[in-house]
Amino acid sequence: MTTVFDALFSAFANLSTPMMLFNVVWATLLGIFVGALPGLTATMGVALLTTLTYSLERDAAILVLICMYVGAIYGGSRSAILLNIPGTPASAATALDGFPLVRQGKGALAMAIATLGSMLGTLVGIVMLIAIAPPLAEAAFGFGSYEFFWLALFGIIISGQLTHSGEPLKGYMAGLIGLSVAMIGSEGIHSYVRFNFNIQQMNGGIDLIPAMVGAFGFAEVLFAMTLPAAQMVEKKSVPAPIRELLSSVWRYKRTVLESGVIGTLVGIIPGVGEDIGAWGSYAAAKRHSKERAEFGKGSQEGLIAAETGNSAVVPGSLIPTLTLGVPGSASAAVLIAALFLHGVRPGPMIMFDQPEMIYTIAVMLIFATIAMGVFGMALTPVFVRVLKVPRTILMPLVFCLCVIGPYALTQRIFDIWVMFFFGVVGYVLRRLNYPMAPLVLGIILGSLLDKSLRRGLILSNGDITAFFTRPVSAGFAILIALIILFSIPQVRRLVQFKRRGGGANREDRGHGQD
Amino acid sequence: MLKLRSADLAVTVILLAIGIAQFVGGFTMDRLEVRRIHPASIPGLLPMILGIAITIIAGLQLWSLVRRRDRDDGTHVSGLIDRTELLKLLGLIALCAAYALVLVGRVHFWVASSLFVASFIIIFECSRSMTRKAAIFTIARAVIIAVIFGGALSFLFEDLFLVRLP
Repeated sequence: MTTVFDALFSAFANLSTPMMLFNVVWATLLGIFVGALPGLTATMGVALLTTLTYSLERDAAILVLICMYVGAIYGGSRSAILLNIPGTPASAATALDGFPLVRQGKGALAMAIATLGSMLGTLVGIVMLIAIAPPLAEAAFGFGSYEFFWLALFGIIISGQLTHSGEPLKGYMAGLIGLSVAMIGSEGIHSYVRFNFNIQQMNGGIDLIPAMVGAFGFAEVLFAMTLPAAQMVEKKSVPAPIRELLSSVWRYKRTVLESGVIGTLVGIIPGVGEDIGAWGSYAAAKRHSKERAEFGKGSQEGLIAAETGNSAVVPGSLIPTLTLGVPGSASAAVLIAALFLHGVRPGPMIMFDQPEMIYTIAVMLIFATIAMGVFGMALTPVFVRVLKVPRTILMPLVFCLCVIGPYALTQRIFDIWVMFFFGVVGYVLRRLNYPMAPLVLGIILGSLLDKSLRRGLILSNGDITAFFTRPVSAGFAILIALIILFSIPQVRRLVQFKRRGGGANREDRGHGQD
Repeated sequence: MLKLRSADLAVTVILLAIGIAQFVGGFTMDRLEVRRIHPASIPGLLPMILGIAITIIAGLQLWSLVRRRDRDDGTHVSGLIDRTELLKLLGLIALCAAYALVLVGRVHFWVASSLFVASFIIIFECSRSMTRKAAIFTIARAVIIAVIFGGALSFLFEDLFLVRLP
């Protein structure tokens, strides 16, 4: 325990320089604006900012990106509450109760509750990050090719399963498309160039940043300009008395804790983002609440559950990112690319190579949370003004950043083409309900899956049963089989039928015949 | 007018073709016998598996789409993109392509960006119903925003973050 506090204190001392604190201020503020503006997402913000942090030193660069991530996830609540349009998908559940509160003239209270909920959610997540990440990294140190193969596959499958909107096949397909993209270029064992279509620039593969900027940035520009604009509610709201705010949060302390834990656990699941964390927490709070009927009509408990849940995903998603090299969310996927750029190798070796990194990132999250709280409470009128910037002015500026971002990293015009291609393809796929998170995860995990599969087969001399005989591998294999089985509607129906003992259905049929 | 169901069907067929092509590509890929690699580590192994998986899933999707025909059962994507939205979308993609794929790299970055921002704002804000005065105001505002933004972007990246611009 003393070692943990020493490590945290040391990280705190290292990061408490005026320049670092200045970075916290501007990056969190920028993050809140990015999150608040509909059409700009946390992933896009982190991806675009990665290109700007290239010339910064390691800790400053990671700090800036973490602040952007925390700020943007929180910032989404501004437009969700004021416009009934979530600034980021993570704030969709926030809009359900935040917007009705604004209509009741309690906009200031709603925003204060969202701010405090986000702060508490992030703090719960940070505590869990500090508690879980080091032992998880040590456990993963014993992982071999077989376990990493199943882990990568599990990430794709669970992400496809949890992020689809009604069609599980599309979730899996998005993951497979991502994996196929990762097959382009030189492979990691024999350096053989695959599927480059005689384009020399594709020999090194498709970079994640241009693909992400396209799929999340350019595609958002296309969405924002083709969908109808939202109108802001201009109802005058009474400032929130501090006592009322604190009593609200104290009354729902159990919900805060529960949502924080749910959000963090959702964050740990590979590729499952903040939106699932918010919806999961919201649903759990509704199930356990005494004021269930108020949910969706301006419930303060619903609002706090959603905001605590989505913010707790941020530290939660960093747990697998840092310890396994498997991103917990789409934004964390960009963070992995950024960490590599700055010489940090996420994965089980992190506790041996850079043991201070987990604690440094925990302190960065604390700084970002404090800045988020201060800005959230103090700058509400400024956010309202920013939300009034018309899309016709904002979107061309965003697209210019989408163009310059990928180019800035590699100085190749080819990456602008990649961004454009992924933007158009991303728009079409999203319009047809294909989720983007599994696709991104596929691009990140493709190389790990490929290398682990072939290395495992070399080790076992081509014997496929070796993938099923180690305990962790067998566990993952069973889990994956169950997830796929339960995504088949007929199987789900059969299980429900068995659980009800078959009686209810027979009874229903009997009534039908009457 | 474009039916989203038709677009879904078209995309599924394309994915089916990609799946088959990927399997064939993986199968016919060099097995590096000259280098005497282990047969289980051939580069085409995972592409082949992915090709099969994509083909199966696209096939299932196609079967499900065809089976339901025009019935909207709520589980599949439905709705329409009307002519206006489609034209707007295509125009937007063309405008962005003109900037990102044609102008950038050929003219100075801030000139290209300013031109793009100004054209974007003018195209999407000006309408025939506008008065002459309002139109002039919109155009002037667009040009000012574009020039300031183009300059600021160049300064931020080139001078502050030391990034070479295209």
